[in-house]
Amino acid sequence: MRNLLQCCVVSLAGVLVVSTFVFAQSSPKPNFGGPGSLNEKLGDTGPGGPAPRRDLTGFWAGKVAAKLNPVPAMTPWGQEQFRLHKTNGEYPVADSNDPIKGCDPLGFPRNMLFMTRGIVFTTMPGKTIEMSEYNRIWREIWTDGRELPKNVGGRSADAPDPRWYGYSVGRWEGDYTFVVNTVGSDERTWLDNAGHPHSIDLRVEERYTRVNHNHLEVTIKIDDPKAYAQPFVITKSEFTWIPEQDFEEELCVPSEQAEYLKLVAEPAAHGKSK
Amino acid sequence: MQSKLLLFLTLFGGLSTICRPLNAHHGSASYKTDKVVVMKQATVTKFVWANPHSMLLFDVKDDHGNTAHWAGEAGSPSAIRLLGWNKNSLQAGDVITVQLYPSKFESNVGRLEEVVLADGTTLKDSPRGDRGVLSRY
Repeated sequence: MRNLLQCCVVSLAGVLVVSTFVFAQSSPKPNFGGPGSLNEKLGDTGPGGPAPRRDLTGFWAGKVAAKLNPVPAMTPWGQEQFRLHKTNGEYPVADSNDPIKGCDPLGFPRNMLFMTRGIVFTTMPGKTIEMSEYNRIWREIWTDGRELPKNVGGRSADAPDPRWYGYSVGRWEGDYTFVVNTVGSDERTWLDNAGHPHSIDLRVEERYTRVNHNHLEVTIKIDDPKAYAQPFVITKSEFTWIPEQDFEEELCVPSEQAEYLKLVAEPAAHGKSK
Repeated sequence: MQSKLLLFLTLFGGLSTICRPLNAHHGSASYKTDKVVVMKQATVTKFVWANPHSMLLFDVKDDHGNTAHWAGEAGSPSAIRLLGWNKNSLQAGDVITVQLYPSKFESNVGRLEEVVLADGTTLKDSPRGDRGVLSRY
């Protein structure tokens, strides 16, 4: 028994000595991590007064990712596309085929569901411009009464080409809700991080409701009969007015991403660097 | 003697691999998310303040004096800047303590949990899946 006790003491001492040096494994403090976005850091800013009439102009902070509703049943075509998508959630980054792995554009509407830390609205004659903090991209939303283009991606000479961020028109419903309709999103883009697909037939309706000066609610409705059995609202998210009207530069840089894939993602997935 | 060895291994193993669950998060498929590795007296060789992934390269000596080269990834500058980091938070030559979630495939890479500087400053990595589909981006 005494020998056993000695062994325990010696063993424990040995463990403690080893653990104070170079390499040890232990239980960390939980990573509460703090805010993941300026939106979370701002917290409850209050209403800030009434919403101005027909005006979204300014910088708005959102969460990193919108909370998404479940998608409805997919069509056979949709299921097949979905099956081919290897997400970063299910596969190591090195083995996924998420388009953004190589810094390809998120495209629309994924850019309004993910990496939504910041958006900006400004107006020009006949159009509203919506910009995103992530990759500093912009969308033109025509407000001059024109119709959406038809036959996007068709073979006829006058058919418009698909675009990463589609073709958009907007109008006010009352004084506080700006409705944006979009078609023509490139099929190479994914609908969301889960790899849900969309087709060139996708039609999206965004409803931006300025509740008061400081808060903007966004509802996004998906209608894609080629991919889904029925239309659905994919999210209702919220943005908060940024007091300083400024935000971070946030770009996916291809050369930096290539370095990341080489130094981290590939070794992490395939154990090549040890 | 065999039983003593067994007891030692049991004790060592039990104390050195205490685990805690880590919520699965976007992009964590490469990493052991149920335990963290702690490396003390690590020396920064390079800090890459990059989008969409910041990277920390560092060296660690094992108890035989051999140097191992490691790489840890963290969130994007937009994410970790809110937590007190900036482009110059870590510089080559800094001696630090690193906690990270290692690769499942035994390579010297991992997802950072936190870095502690010589002056005691703690830099946490950005939050993960406990808030939904958060990510390293």
